[in-house]
Amino acid sequence: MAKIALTNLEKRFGSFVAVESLSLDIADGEFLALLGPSGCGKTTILRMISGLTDATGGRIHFGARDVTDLPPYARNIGLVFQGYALFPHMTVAQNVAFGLEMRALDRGEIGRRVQSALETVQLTGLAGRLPRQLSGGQQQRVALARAIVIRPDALLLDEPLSALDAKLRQELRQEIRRLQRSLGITTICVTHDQEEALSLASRLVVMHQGRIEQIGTPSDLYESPASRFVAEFIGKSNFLDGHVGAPDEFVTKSGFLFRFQRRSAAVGSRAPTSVGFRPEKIEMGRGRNAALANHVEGKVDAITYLGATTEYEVRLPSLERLTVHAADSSADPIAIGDNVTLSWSSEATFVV
Amino acid sequence: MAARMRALTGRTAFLASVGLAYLLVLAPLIAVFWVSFFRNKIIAFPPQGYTLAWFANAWSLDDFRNGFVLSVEIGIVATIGSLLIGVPAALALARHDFRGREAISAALMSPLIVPGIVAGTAVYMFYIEIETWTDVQLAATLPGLCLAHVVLALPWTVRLVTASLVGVNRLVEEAAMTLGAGPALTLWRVTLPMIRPAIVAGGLFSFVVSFVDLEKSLFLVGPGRTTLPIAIINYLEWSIDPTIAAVATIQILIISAALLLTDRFVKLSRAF
Ligand SMILES: Nc1ncnc2c1ncn2[C@@H]1O[C@H](COP(=O)(O)OP(=O)(O)OP(=O)(O)O)[C@@H](O)[C@H]1O
Ligand SMILES: [Mg+2]
Repeated sequence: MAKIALTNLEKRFGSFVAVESLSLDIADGEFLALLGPSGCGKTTILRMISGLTDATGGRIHFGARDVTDLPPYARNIGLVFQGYALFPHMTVAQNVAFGLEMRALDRGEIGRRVQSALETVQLTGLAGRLPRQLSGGQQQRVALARAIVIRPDALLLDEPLSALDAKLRQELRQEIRRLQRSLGITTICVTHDQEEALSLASRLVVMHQGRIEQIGTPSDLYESPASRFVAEFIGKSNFLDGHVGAPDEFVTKSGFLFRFQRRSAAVGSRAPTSVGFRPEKIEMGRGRNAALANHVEGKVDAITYLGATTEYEVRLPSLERLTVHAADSSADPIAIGDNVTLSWSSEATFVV
Repeated sequence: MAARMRALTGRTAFLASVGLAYLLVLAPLIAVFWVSFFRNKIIAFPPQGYTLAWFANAWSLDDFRNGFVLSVEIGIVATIGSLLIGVPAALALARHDFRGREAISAALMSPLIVPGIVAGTAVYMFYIEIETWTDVQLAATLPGLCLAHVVLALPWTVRLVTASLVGVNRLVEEAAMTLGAGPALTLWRVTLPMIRPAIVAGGLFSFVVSFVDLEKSLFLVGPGRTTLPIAIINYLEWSIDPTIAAVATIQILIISAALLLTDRFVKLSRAF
């Protein structure tokens, strides 16, 4: 277990820059989630950390150890691949034992550790099976056991749950979390499922085109997205274009005045060009809620039932559209065509 | 009605042509097999009875017995040689992009294209050339014959193993590396076991190709040495009796066994 430090890490494929000058410290025992759209360089980063791909620039440290120039087999990392990549010709137990055999441990020790790793992932009964005789979820557990049994300095997970159905995902998510906590192992998990990232990790890194867009706790990213990209990537957001009028007041192109309290970091000294607020921070009713700072009136255009909440499309007189998430009130249900007033606080409002 | 008639005649024509094709392929084999048990020396139908005597007779003839032993020996050498060269060659061809890769690939495949009799002549002339330059005699020697058979078998191994390597998931090898296996251990513990069916198939196929070869061997066997196919040709020059059918039956059985075994490891139809 060790702290991982990436310093100005870079990967070029010819003239294409897949990862651009990336610096990131992952604390000992931390669970970090790496997320971003397809092709933004997530797998490339994991491959560089594990040594399967050579970095074209920058350094990688595990604790005090500079591993940048070490081959993968000298790095001591546990990697769970997107497709699991189990050894098809070996049984579950042999798969898990492989890394220990490479470390030339004695047979008794290998047997004990394989047994305990299989217990950890609840696969003891399947030790003698071949990978092709396992379900997707079971294969995933074998991959996990194979990676942790070697007591790696870091555990790298590349979309470990993407091939599984929603229920199994939920289950294994809990299992990974429990395992990571009990072993205290430094972990980086790649995902493009934001729910997964939010529920697993203590810190999130949002990437965009090979660069870090924002690093922070789940609530940091959700409440104060550093950029419009992050705001749109993590959860849903309403955005209206315009400019800042008074220091805490945003004037939209359509002439609305909105008070805001959050200014995203990515804006820097540049003048913000949009105001944003989350759909579930909006109160919707027949009249305005005077306790909240921002108000706008509109007409309900569409209603989508989402289970726990209902999503309303509200068209403003300016023809701009806002999305509202609200619990359906059965006493006075709102229907398509109704005129409504939307209210939300200045704390829930950010400019980017 | 007309459409149904057309469909029916089409189907009949199809079945008939398939049947004919099978007949053309199998009839000679069945005939040979049958004749090898005839009691009469002159091959004539119907047989006057059945006997196993021709098999005993074939074994009692030095030419056939020695030819058989030599063919098996050369077949084994060809198998081992083609695996020792072919598997590393396939690994290099499938896994590395280097200058001259296409050329080497084409060279390894050429024995599949060049007619055996032409290749035999070429190898013979090449051996003579080597002899004039270096005084090493290869033509009409056992090592020379074995070497030619290794070359004969090599394309099959390369082809089967390369095809299998293409299907191997590189991530599995990378997983081995991250678990602490260096390149050699990864090859030994992961890559080779994963392509084992193709290696076994390549070996069996090499044996068959060597075992049935007539044309190249004709040029390269030394005096006093015959392989089984050459022994058959020689015998046929002087006499035709069920002995030759018995020998052919044994040969066919050995080849069929090898091919059936091969097919269990690799679907042969996939390699062509
Ligand atoms: N070997 C390579 N040669 C050239 N370009 C590559 C290579 N590997 C990756 N890339 C490019 O680098 C970029 C990042 O790829 P990477 O696999 O890291 O994306 P990712 O974030 O993991 O995406 P996904 O979520 O789809 O898995 C992509 O644009 C990809 O096309
Ligand atoms: Mg990826």
